[in-house]
Amino acid sequence: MYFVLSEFADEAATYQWTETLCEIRSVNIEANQKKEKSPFRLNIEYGYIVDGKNYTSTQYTLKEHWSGDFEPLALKRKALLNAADGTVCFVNPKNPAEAVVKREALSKGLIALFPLVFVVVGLALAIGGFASLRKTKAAKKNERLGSISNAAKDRGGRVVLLIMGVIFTLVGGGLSVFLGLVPLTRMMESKQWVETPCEVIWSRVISHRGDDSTTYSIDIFYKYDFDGAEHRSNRYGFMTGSSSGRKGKQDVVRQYRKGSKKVCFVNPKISEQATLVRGFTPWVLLGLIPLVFFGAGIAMLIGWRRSGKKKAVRGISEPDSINEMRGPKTLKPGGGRIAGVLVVLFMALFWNGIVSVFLVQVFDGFKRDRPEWFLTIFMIPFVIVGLIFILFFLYKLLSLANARPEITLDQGQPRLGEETWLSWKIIGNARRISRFKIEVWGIESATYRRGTKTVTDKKVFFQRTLADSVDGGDIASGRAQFQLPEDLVPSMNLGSNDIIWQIKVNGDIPFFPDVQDSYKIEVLPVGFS
Amino acid sequence: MAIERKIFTELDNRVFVPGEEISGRVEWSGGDSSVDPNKQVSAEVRLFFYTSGKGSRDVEIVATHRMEGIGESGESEFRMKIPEASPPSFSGQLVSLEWALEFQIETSGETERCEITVSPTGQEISLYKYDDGNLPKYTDFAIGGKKGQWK
Repeated sequence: MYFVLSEFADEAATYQWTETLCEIRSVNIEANQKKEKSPFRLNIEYGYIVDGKNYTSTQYTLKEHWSGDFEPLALKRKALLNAADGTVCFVNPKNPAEAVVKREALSKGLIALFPLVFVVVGLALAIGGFASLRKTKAAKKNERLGSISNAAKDRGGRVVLLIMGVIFTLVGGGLSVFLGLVPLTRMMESKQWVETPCEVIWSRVISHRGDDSTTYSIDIFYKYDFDGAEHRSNRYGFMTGSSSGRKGKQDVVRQYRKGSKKVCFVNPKISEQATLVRGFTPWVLLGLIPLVFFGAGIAMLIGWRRSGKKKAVRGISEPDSINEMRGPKTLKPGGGRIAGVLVVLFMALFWNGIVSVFLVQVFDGFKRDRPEWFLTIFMIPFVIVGLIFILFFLYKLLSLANARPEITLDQGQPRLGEETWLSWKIIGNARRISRFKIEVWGIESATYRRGTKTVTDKKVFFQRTLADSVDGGDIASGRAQFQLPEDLVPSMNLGSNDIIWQIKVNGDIPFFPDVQDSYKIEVLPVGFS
Repeated sequence: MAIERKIFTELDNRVFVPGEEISGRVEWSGGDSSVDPNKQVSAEVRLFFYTSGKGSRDVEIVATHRMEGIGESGESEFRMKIPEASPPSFSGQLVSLEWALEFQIETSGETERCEITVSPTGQEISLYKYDDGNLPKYTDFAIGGKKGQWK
């Protein structure tokens, strides 16, 4: 971190340098095949005048940069050559012979803060550990003293949840965008790119030696003519980075030998952008894995927000207003059918996306008459689960076509012991429904920790049928009166324990997914005013 | 010498309805010999409810009667109102909710608790009072299953 900060300080000093107009004399990109990982460098020569004296510089940035990607350098070269009003460079006022054309973005200094993320996470875990230890000690003390109410004062751990939630959301979201969404978008756009003949300058597999293992990447450098000019590129596809498995990459490189004539795809809007392979490849789905961390971060933030909600007396739902309590209310089904379909779709894509990566390897093995039997057998249960996800998605998709019941309560928030009218109307084709049933359920819910997992158990303590019809006319619409016993409990949200009341609707459809919706209702206590 | 604490509610009433006022008194005697007898000590009577059962315990204090500068022995009256929007005492198979008063003196931290019932019906509510043995099993997901039945 010290070296990063030191470098950042040097770069930051260039923001004090004088802005000066300079004349670009030459810009080219040097390609040095001997430099394996970063063979490209932007070479520039420019002149400028300070206090009447002419100076020449070849420094583009403060620190010399060799790059592994040709395309960004080609775009920079194009921008420098096309600068209509001349180029601005930055001259050191203490030493005018020193100048740069580009200053590094100060936001790069934030990279120095990256290790701080681990420090913060470590601190958060330590604080959480201490809070948990303190809570356990306090609970033991309260047990010894015989106090239950003292526990109400101890609400530690929220800060930890907030910190972890923010970190997971930002890091997960950021990585998903750069590793998943950006390459995916570019893959889709590349379908419009123009097929162009190209010639391979060099092709090789590059090794990246890590602490525990070595990974490999493809490096193919090629040239092509487009829009009357010669261009070069070393983009193979849209997934960056390296991975294990040298053999597969070697097979690819062997197809692109030096001097061979091949086809590449060029962006007609930006001729410096080209690729040898375009379109969707399953590997890009791996870039969406950080979405899991993003989702976990959002869940933590929701949990943090919910744990902070305080009501005058936590527990009983209060009528939003007298008018709402007395007025009719149309209920919305819990969960949402479309949301349910999307969740299952995401799970199916995520699971099958990852499984497909390994399936490709299995099929490749069979294609080359060298089947990998261990991998094949190992993948069977994962493929079965993937197929189940697909079938479940299709089931959910079919249920979208079902008619939708619209439920209205005359008293938006019914009270225990009070007569309430419920009416329903089927939106869509009600004729397919052979039997239609509406029930009201009372459910007790208890959430607790089991090891490291949080588990919620639910049990139905009350059930009453409000409507049960096999007659078409009665199914399409109707009304029913009901009265919840006054010697039961109203809706409650106590934190870890809840009392939930629901209207459950079921419509049997022969040879098709049934209509099944549930509607949460807020039941008020007896005599609440 | 251990502190003796006692809580009394008026007329020995232990059953209340939401919105009702609880009045009573607390008595204490004896002292903590490790504490400076001139030190001003506080005490509290708390009205609260808590859950028990399978789920993690939820505890909510709804009213507090605080006493400052109390001596080694004494008594104090308290009045607290049970909010109208209060959950009633009930017992279920997963969750039960109970109400109580706790009297705690600051120095020792030891507590005297008195269980009460808060219910519009005058009795603790039993969730499964209407269980005829045919209650459905709760499940979040539903695929297939017997037609006409909740899955």
